[in-house]
Amino acid sequence: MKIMDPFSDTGHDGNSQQQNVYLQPSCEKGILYNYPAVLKLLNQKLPFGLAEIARCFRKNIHDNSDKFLFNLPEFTQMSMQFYSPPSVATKWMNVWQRERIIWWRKFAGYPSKFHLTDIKMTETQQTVDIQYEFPWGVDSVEIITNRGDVDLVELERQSGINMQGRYGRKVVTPVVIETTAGLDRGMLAYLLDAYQEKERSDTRGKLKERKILRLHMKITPIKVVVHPIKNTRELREISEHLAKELRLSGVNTLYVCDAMTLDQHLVRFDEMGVPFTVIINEGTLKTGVIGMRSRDTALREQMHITEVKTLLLEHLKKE
Amino acid sequence: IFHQNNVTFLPSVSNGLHVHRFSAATSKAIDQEKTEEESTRYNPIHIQMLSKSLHQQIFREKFGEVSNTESQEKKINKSIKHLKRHGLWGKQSTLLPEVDFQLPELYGDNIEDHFRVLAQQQSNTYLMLAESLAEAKLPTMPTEWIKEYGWTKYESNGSTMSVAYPEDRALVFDVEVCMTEGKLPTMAVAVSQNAWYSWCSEQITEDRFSWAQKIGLKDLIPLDQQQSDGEWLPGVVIGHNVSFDRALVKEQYLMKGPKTRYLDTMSFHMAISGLTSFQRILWNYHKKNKNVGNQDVKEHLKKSQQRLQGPLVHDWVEVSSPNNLGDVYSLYCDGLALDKTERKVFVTGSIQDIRHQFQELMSYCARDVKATHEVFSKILPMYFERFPNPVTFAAMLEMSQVYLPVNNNWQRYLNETQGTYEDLQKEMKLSLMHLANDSCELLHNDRYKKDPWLWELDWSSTELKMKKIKGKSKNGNNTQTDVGEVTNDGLSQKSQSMVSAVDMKDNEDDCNHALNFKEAPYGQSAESVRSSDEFEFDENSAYEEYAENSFLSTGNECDQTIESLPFNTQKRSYSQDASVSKPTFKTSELVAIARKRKREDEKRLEAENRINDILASKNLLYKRKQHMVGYPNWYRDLCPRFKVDSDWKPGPSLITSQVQVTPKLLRLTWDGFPLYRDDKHGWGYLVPGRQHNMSRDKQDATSQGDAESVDKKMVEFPIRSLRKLMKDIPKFSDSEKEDDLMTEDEILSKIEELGNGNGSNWDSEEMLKMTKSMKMSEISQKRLCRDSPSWHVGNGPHNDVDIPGCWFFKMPHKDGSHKKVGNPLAKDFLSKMEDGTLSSFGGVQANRILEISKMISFWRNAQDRISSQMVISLERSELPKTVTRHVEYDEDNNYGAILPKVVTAGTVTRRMVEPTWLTASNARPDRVGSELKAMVQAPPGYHFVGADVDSQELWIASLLGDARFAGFHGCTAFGWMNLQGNKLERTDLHSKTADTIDISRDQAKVFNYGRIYGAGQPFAVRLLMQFNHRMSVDEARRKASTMYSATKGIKKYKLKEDVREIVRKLLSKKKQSRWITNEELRTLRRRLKYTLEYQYVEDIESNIPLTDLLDYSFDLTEKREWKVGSESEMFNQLESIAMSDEPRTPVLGCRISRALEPMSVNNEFLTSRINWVVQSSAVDYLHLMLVCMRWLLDKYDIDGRFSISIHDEVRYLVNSNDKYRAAMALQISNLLTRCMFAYKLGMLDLPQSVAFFSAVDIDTVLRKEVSMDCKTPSNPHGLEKGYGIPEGEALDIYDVLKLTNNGSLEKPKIRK
Repeated sequence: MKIMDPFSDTGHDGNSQQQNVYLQPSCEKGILYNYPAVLKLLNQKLPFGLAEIARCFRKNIHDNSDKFLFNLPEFTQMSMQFYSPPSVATKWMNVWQRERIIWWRKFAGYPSKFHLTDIKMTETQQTVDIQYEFPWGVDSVEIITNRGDVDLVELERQSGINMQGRYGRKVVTPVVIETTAGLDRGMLAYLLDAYQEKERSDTRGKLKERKILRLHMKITPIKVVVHPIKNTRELREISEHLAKELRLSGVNTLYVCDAMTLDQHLVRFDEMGVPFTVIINEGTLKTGVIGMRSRDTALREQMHITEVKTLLLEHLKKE
Repeated sequence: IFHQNNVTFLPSVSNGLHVHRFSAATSKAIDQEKTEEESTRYNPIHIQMLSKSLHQQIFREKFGEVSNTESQEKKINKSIKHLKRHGLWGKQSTLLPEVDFQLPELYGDNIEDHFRVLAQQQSNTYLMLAESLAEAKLPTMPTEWIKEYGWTKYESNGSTMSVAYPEDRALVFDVEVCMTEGKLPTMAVAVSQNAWYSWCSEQITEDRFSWAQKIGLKDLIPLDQQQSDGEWLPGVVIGHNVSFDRALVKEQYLMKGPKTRYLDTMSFHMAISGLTSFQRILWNYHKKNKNVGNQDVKEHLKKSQQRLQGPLVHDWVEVSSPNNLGDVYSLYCDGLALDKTERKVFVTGSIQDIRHQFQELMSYCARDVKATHEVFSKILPMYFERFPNPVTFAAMLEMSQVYLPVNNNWQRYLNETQGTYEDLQKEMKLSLMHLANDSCELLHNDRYKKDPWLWELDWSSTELKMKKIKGKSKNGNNTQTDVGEVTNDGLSQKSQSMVSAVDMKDNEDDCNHALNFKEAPYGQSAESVRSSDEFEFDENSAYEEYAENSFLSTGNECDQTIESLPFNTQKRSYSQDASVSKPTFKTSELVAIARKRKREDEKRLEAENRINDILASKNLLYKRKQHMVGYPNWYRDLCPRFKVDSDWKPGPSLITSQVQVTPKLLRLTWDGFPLYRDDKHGWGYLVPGRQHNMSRDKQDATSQGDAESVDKKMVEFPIRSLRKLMKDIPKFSDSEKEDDLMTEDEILSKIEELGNGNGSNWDSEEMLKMTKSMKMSEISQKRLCRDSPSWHVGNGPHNDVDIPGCWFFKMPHKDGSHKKVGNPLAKDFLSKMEDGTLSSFGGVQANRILEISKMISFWRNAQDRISSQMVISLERSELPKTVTRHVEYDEDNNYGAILPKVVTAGTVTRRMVEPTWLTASNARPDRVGSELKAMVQAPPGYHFVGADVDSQELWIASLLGDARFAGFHGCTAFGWMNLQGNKLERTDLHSKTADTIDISRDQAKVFNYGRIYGAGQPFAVRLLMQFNHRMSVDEARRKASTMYSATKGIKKYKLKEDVREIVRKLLSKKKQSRWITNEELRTLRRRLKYTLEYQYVEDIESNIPLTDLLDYSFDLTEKREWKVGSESEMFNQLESIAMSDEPRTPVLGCRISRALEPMSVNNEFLTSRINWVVQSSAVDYLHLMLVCMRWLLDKYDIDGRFSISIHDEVRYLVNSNDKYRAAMALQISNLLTRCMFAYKLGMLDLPQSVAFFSAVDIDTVLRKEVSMDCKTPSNPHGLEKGYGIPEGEALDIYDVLKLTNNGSLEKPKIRK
């Protein structure tokens, strides 16, 4: 990965071979350098924000098998910088804290495991972390920082470009409020949040410890499995038809038909975090009735095969 | 430098008189403190008094002159004896540093005169304006109203003119608001003695599509204008509930507002003839025959009927009324009725409706104004007659000026609180949904039958119902339906015949099939090759193609000939191009390929048909979709019905904490026992171990043959799993509450909560009812004692609830055992959740739900009231220069104010009433939105200066007791504890009570306040049981009785002298004590009766006919009094005031409401009256303080205004430059007020310990303590970090003296 620094002195010495090539440790600069252009595009009007998702790198890696995802040399960062007039910076800082914590909590099964820390103050900036209660303790998944105007002042000094924008009748150098989240660690948090060990009874009525991944409908990769209970042609035909119909309407569908018992399948689907399994049996051929088995309730709702699509789409829309 | 030292003082009785000299003598040894000791003044029982200088300045008596009479000595001895009995004599006390400074010179001869002068100075102008308007005859009301924006004046000659504001300085005023359009004023009418005025808003006169979002002064009604010299003219505005109108007046939002004062006829009415809330219900019953079904009323009527033994004549009903203008008008104006029908237009109508009925509505408004004037004319003289001290009137003028400054943070608070609330609610709902989902699993193998909570839910579910199928085809593949489409018919038949021809095993899996396409070009010979056109397909497109052709073909396509099908699609033709390059096939090969294709296409078509048939079975569904087929009924009830594009939400989203299954899903336990709900008894819990109904149960079910009961018994209570569970549930342990957890406000609310919903209203009726119901439950318990557990005491068991193997106990209800609990998650059980009595066995998630429901309780109840507060923001030009020139002034900040709609005297005790600010509790870390008060924030350059009166009501009560007993401060045990009590030595009031019956100090606090508010023993019993619900009724009774006899004392009756004589003679007793207990009195009566009836009686000379003694209605006693207890004298004093012919507050001589005067209520509502004595005196206290403060602010040019008073707390908004002077003024106000109290009770002195506020708070926001950071879930960073608000200062008198050049209120000459 190579980032050209458009304002750095090295960029103009004509000797591109000599230029420093480096792997970015964060998206920070990448976004910041776009500020002057966007400001112009927006007619110098504040406030606005810019976001980027990018691969970033780090050198110092601690070996800790539990939290390896935290210390990968390569990771994906999701960053947003919001350029706010200084007079309303506190307000926007609060807005972003709220919005971000709401976002994290939205997909969690135990929303309160995500929380904001106290404000940490240094001379130039205020920081609030969004943290998650990992099994090894509390760790940050996102950092929200009011960086003040030092970045832009510095950039202005280096580039000579006026960084000031208009807010109402005033012309001001904005304050940068930055939110930076780690995609990998965020996903880990959600996986841990979703992971459950529950007692469930199998088909014979025996209680067994089962693992269930209660992922939010929106972030689970597979939304539904279509599963004919027997491997006959008629059952396959109708199952395939349904799977196709669902895929065409944009529902991420898995079609599974093999020799394992239904019970084994369901255990697997629960572990995969699939919210719904459409169970198709011989009865379906006569009446069109399928069983819509839910991961969360472990019960099957009977419904007609033609109703499956609308229901799933509504689930995806409303959850 | 101030010295603090402890002096142990054990004076003998003889030198008690010469305390001062004695203490000086003993301190000679300590040289350093000699001078101080010498000047320190003590009263006869060695309580430190005001310094010599202050005492002289205030009381102007010659120092130390104790009337050295015999009676005085006797009194002192009496007091010492009394204190000894209560273990308080000779206890250590702390010597406070002397306070000495120069007070401002007082007016008049004594402190009472001083206050009178102040009040007159402050109120005279207003008084004259008010009186002249009250006496005036109003001009004739205009018949035609002008519909023009702004004020219109109607002259008496009929001419009208537009004016900027009403020109007269005394007005009766009324505003109407169109509720559907918002909070801004719509129209208003005012009248003076000279002219009528009307005001119209732009809403009425102009059509606009939208109105500006931000409301400012321009939207409000102007009433005043600044004079050219910047001064405001004084004026009075009169209205009924006038603070509502005031909140819509423009100038009132200015920080340095006009000198207009608002007089509220509702407050006047409340003070003169107000009703307690219970009386209000009774009043309605009598006058309007409303609420006939109300249980409480019926019982009350029955009781009072029995007591009076006559027709129900209630004088008080005739001299009082509820607060609305209509009733008040007819009370004071000879029963005339006021037509209020138009009112509803303003409530429900649109602005259009108002425009249409403009004339009528204006007239209506004007009629209200006229009625208000008439009421005012009648009520004002009555007010001055009943409240003779001008302080009362002056303070009410001041109190109408409530002003709460806010800024941007108000909106932020609303947003964040609402956001946090919604977040938490979402989380709670999510968690509840998870719980419901998880519980579903118990349906498998009927596991729910073993669950002690969920066993009795409705677990049955339905099957999907479909229309009947007429006939089935032979192979069952095709279903012919009665609604089947005819067009499909032929095809179906065809496919049927083909099915048999297809070898099922030939058909490969879908995946394999697709793979084969790819493998074909390499792995297969030309002959067996599938059609060449498929060669080029990659896996995906092949699959798609296949699927498209076989599954998605419509009816139309089916009509095409089979041969043409494969060649028809475009993709085919494209692939055929590809085949060109390949070697040409022989005809025979082509034929074979074509045949193969044909066969495949036939297969495809067959499959299509089969699928279409299945899909067509949709027609068998009933139109109305069945709801969640296959789920248990209780779960289905929680899920909304599915509908596309509606507000349908997935999952059991209808679940809330209010739903009946929720406590069960949460697996709530009470004291470790599972909760169970019975239709008759409400929520309770099941205690296992019952034997009686184990076997009988089945017999009953069969013998009765009652279908329903059999049905219900189908699922039997899983007693075994409960027993197993009981072993697992950890026994709940008593968690000691933190010290000082309850503030006085909370205590008050606690008391109010226990006392029939109103603090001033424990009527004896209620008490009786309660004791009765308690007795009942006890009796029933005794009767059934064989069938009840020995190891659990509670409200029950109620053995009509027949759960095999279990007893059913009801959860305790705050209103007594006869009420049933509707929702265990309600607010009343929050404390039980906190101490773990009510807990959950449902794991982390369930506990989190309980926690959340606790967190959101405050905001859920208060959000409407708080978010509807009207904030008016001020422009730069509308703010004082102090604000706009301050460094911290920020132009973008919305500086503004809220004017709370207070009723200055809203209860019979004349306390101020307002629903949001006066009841707001303090910030608690686990209550969303509880940082409310701290959102009232002073603008830059200003500070709040305020203080809480330290234990105000206890002090007033003890002062009354002291005055009656020996006439000096601290002479009763109760008084001594309040003045000298020490928490560390446990000699203060609360600790003493706590030690007496072994409860915590905080709990004792509630009892102590309860007693002076008039709560009796039944209240104590109930409260004790609520604090510790495992306490038996007997034990609670015993404790309550111990506590009451130690504090309130024992009620004793004084026999009439004649009676005593007779008794002595008749019963030939040598001695008959004058004071006897109730018990003794009854025995005496019995003995008298016996003697008179069965024994020979000699003629006895007596004024009383002996026959009278036989009559039980004849009173043998002349009075009753409390004796022995530490508070007996206080209660005697309270009762003697409350029961006197004309109860008046001791200090300002304010009369009680006519509705509570003994002549109109007999002996009823005694608790309310006793409560009135203390609480109304506390109001006097506040009034005195406000008047004094106003004097000092004016006299010393301190830039400050009254902001709010919350019962025993006052806050002023003061220019930051003047904050310390204001603090000093507040200290002086407190000192003078206390001295006034002492003076009026005949004690010309004041103990040092109560002379000054323990702390004056100087702060930028409203909060209980200046150091409180108010961290709550909605304010997670606290005030300091989250809002940038620093801690305030809390200054005691010594700090203030230092900061003000030893108490000087003069403006410092050099100012920056």
